[in-house]
Amino acid sequence: MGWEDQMRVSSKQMVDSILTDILRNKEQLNSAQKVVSTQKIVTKPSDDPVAMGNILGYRKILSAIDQYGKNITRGKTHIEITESTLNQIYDFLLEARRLAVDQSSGALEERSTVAEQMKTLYDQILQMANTKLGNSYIFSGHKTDTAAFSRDADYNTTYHGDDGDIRVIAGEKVDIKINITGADALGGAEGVFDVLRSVINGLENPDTAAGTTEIAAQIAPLTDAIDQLEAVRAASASTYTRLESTENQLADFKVKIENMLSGEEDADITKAIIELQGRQTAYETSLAAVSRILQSNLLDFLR
Amino acid sequence: MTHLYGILNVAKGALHTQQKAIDVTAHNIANVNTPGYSRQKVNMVTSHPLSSEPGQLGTGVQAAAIQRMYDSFLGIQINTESQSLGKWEAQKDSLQKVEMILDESSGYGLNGALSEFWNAWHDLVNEPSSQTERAVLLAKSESLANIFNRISADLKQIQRDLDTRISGTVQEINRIADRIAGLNEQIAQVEASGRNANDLRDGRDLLLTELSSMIDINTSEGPDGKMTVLLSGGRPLVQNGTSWDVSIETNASGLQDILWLDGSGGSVNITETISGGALKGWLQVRDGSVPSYLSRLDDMAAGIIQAVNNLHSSGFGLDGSTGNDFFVGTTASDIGIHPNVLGDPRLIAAAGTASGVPGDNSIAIAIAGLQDDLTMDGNTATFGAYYNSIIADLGGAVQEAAANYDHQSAMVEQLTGVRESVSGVSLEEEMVNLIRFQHAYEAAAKLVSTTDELLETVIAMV
Repeated sequence: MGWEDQMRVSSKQMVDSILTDILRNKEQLNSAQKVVSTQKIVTKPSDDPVAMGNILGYRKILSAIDQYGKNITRGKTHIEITESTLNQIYDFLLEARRLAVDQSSGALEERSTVAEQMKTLYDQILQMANTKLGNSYIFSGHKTDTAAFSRDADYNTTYHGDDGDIRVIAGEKVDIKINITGADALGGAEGVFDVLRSVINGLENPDTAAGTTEIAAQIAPLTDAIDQLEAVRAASASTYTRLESTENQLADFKVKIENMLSGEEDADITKAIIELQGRQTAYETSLAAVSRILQSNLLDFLR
Repeated sequence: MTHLYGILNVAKGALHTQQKAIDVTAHNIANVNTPGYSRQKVNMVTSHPLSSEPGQLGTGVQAAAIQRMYDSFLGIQINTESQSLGKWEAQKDSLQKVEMILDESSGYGLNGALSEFWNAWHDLVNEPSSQTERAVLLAKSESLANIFNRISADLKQIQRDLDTRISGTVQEINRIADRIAGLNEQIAQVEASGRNANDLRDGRDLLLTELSSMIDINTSEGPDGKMTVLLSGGRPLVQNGTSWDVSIETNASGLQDILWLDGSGGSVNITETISGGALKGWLQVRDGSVPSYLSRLDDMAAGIIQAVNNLHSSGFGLDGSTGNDFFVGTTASDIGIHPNVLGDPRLIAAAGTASGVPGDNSIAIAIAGLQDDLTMDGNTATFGAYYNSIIADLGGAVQEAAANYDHQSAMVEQLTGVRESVSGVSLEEEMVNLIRFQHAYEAAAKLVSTTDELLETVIAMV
């Protein structure tokens, strides 16, 4: 076997090894093509298991961020409606106090008219307090299917809601109370409605002097009620601010995560195209070489 | 005179021998593309010389044997590496199928469905009394359960598909073993009379390589040319002219075990002892990889079912009822939504207290918060992270099988190349040989005509 010391190439081996090389080039060309067309370098776990794990994690975070954003928007809407309603009530209360202040220093002729005005204000405030967002009463605490307040013929009001919190999820393990109960805003020991009723009673008191005294006695409570309302509005406003700043943070965070996701998953298109061209060339070159080799044969020369 | 006739004999021997060489060359050329063919060549030796004056006189050429160009050590090496190649190829292909089932590339796999499930609970938090959000929550929950069911079913289907392959391969092994036993007999017969059974040996070697890719074997050739083939554990598959069978039997898990039949009614379960070939690759995936993924998915489903149900049954539905389960089932294959809840979405418990209905969303908040709780893996991972680790492990397993396959492929390729260089037919070589033997034949024929003329001259002398 002396001359077999050099590598002897059989006919079959020649063809087989050429074929293997062509198929390999073709396979690499194919995978480069896939990267360019999907624009992703990781499409299945075996492409890069660690990257795939990260990609799945980022996707989940992005989904959560979008949902938190949705929740926060819901919360903000609730607070916006609350705020505009309370603002209206505030205006009504200021009007009521102005009238009461007027009447507490005389002006007996208009008393019955003012009484009617006061009753109207009372009902308007009551109506505001029963505002709905969609199908839910916003001031009833957990009892969102029940109107917060109702009154009887003598302008006695009952609160039908409870002190439940309505919360939205603004982040991981972060839920924020967004509602104000009717009790907090307008109730209490000397709530708005009780005070207004007393004022109305005073206005309708046939004994005008006693009536005036009654009215005057309600000015301070009325002011307290207005202050209570304002305090609640301020708390609500600060919750709103907190929601907004969380919203902004989430937006920033989302951009970061999207970048990280893209970093793991997306192909650098320029690089991918250059790679594709390189492999295309390699493939075509191997094909050209093969055609050269396959055609020459000793038989051609033995004629 | 005897010398003249002697020359004729020499010429006759030369003609025969060169013709035989051309025959063998023709055989080589014809089989240039035959798989497993080892080129043959005629061993020409000088015929036994005669004692004569002035010295020993040669008596021409004879064909001593037709030799098969073959390196038996290479053959054994190739078979050994083929066992590993078969194993890794089988593992890679099967694991790639598993990878396709857990496809996350579109974003609509279990990872996405889980996110949408949690988000649907968030939406319920935002609108605890609304029917719309409840309907959507049920739809997303059913989606999640369905994906669990589907993945579980698909993984089990893969196990059954692998069983089909295994049983087909077992039958093939038996067929090949029978043929090897038959060839053993034939080769021994031929070689007993002193001739090389070249083509028969090629056939047997091809069968052995094929067998190696299916199952791990040990081979050894006896002095009589018979090949003994042993399975793992020293159990014979082929010995002399006898072949033993392997068979399959359904085991307790409903999958196939592989048995070796001892020929007298007994059998040995060899499933655990097989260590190479495609059978090993398939068994590894069927009995190792897939069950591990299945059990982790089952754990995950069970975890979700339990955690959600615990919170849900402590909550209150819109109709004031409590103690209702949200999920039914215990594993990935049977997880589903409780039919009561499906039939009446008001049973979905968002509220934490009876008096809090309908605005109380504290239970819904708690359930939505489960996505961030470390509930899996000994309380170190969230559901999402646990699933991601399954995917990452799967990706790693596929990568490993593919890398090993590539490596083995290259090795077998290289060994095959070396074997080809020893045993393969080179057409150029055969062409040149053809010319060589043809010239020798022509020259020998010339000998005949020359001797004929010499004889005529001698006869004419008389």
